[in-house]
Amino acid sequence: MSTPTELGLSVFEPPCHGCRKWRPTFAALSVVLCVLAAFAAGPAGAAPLSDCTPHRGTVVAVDFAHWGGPIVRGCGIDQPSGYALLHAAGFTTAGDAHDGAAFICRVGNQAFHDGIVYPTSSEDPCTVTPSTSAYWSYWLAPAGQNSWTYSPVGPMGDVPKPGEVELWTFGATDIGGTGGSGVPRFPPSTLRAANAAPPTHTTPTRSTTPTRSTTPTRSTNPIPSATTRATTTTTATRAVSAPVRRMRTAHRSAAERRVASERRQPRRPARKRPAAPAPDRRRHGAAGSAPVVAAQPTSERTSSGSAGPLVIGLCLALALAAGAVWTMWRRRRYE
Amino acid sequence: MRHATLSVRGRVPGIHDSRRVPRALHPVAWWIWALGLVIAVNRTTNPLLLILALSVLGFVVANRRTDAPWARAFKYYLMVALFIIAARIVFQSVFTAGLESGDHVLFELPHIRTPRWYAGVQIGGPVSLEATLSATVDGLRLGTMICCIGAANALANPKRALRVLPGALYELGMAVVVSISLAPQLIESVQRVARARRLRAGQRRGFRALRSIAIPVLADALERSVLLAAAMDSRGYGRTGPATRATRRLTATLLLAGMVGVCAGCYGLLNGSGPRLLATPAILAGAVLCSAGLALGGRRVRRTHYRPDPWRAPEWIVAGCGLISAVTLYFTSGYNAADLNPSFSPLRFPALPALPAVAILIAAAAAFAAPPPRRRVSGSVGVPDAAGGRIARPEVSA
Repeated sequence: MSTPTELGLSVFEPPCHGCRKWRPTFAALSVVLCVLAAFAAGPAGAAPLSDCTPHRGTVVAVDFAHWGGPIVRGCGIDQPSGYALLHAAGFTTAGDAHDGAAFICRVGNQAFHDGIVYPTSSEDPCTVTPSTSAYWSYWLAPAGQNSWTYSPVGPMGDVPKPGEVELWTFGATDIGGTGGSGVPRFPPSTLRAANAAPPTHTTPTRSTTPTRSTTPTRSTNPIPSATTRATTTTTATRAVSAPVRRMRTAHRSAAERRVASERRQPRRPARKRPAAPAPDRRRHGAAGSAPVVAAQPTSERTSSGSAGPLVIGLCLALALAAGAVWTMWRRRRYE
Repeated sequence: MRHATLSVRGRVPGIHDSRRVPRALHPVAWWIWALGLVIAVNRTTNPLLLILALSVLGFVVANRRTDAPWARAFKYYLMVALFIIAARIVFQSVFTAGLESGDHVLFELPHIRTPRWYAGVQIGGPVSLEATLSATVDGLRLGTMICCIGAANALANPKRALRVLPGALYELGMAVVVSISLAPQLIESVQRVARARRLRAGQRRGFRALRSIAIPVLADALERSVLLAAAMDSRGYGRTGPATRATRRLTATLLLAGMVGVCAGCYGLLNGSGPRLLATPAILAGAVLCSAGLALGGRRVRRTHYRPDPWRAPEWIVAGCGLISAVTLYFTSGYNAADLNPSFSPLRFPALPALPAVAILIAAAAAFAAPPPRRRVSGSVGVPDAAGGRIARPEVSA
């Protein structure tokens, strides 16, 4: 997409020389028109789950077990951020009023309750940052790692890697993400792309696309010799972050794998009423009882609303402003 | 205003309604009105409601401000609001938050790569229309709130507003009034010295000119303060009153304990993860202790009011207008949250929720409910209402 200024100026270039003084007006008008035209564009489509393989694409899953729902699993390929991955997989999200859309406060998918975003506004108004006692926590499991890592970055800062699994669970965690009801009780292997065995510890995909971990804009501004530079960066940071990651997950991985394998024994499928929240259900393990279903794309395109309220509101404001200017003008005249 | 010195009593029809006696509205009414609008504006990021609130502020200020120096400050608050919006957009563009799939890229800044441990903050990169719009609206909200305070400052006489301080704080209020009066006096003093220099054909510029202006101004200020101190001393200011040592200690203890309680309660309310039970009782207990301390401390100060500000029907209406806006937006946000805080990703036109819009428009009724302001007849810029600045006076025959 070309920038609006050059687009607008090429369209609205005044044909005569005498109207040069109108040029700022034309420029402003063109910017406004471009903003209005941008409202009409729609979002991108969702990738089907079968597109993801152990070496291609990233699986993202959202655990609705807090509301008695399934784990909804989707797929995204070469997404610039974890946030874009959620949307590419067909999830709808909402931020909170304080932090903006990048702080995931509500998540929903068409596969669960017709796409209602949870938590609902009666549970959390999503006006300020949710507390650590009930929020969507973000978990990563890179290719080859069979335990969850509490993401050190937000969904906008994370860059999904091929073969990775990302998980969103609702509940409480402590600050380090080591305890609380939001910690996932099932290993990432239950969610990985199923059409091949889990990849080994050395993944070839990482070395083939090393620039992925640095910038989401790699496709728009290719930089010469970026490959070598980025490779060194990647290895260096991996060397730093690997002990940290081991430290975080070591005390959990072995025990949890055992617990999770026990829980995968067939249990009585306790289907509750859909609207009733079941917070204690998390204690019994989500992967054992809750089914894993594929994400569905949003059914209807989000409309961009109508411009009517905008016009009415601006007219009201303009009328008031005109009243103020008129009063000041009369005041100045009579003094 | 440029023509102010030339005017004879000019009566502007509409502003000077002949049927209504011009008088200053009670300053507390203006402050309640403005703070109500602040609360209302704080609840929404809807750009239409924010722009509506800004125009309401401008309309009321244009209709009901006086000619006092502080009453012309509203345009500076508007400039501050514009600056806030611009700064917010610049910061949003430099520290981008990353692109979403459907974003519309406006332009691209050079991207500076940051190491992985610094993830979460990007410097440079593509700037999207969505991010710019949400930054604009965020800045607009803060700017509108600041303009609300600016409107209260322009409409209410700050010296008379300080009268409502509790008696225990009257010394503090008196100091503030003296310092508020200082700035116009200094300006006038500087202008006088500069005029005298021009008459004497003083040609020095730069640092030397500064010296020849600063020394007379300082001497003038010193002279004025000695005169003011003598005048206040002769009127009985600065007496400690019949307070014993025990009373003073009790007052200090009550105030300190109350402040600690209020602070603990605020922390409990804002933290959220703390014990919920602690928050409200601590605030209430702190407020009770503070009030007791202020009441006890105020007993030693006996005040008489010179020209008390009346609180009549216009005051009730103006304060009520602000409160209606605040209450309406405070309680509609529960079921109207999507309209009050519209999202710009994906891009969509903001809605104009009817009830909050009407509530904000009701605040414009203050422009008609308030009595027309008293206008200065003539004279230079000075301190038009110096007598009103006297907020407290100990009773001489106590």
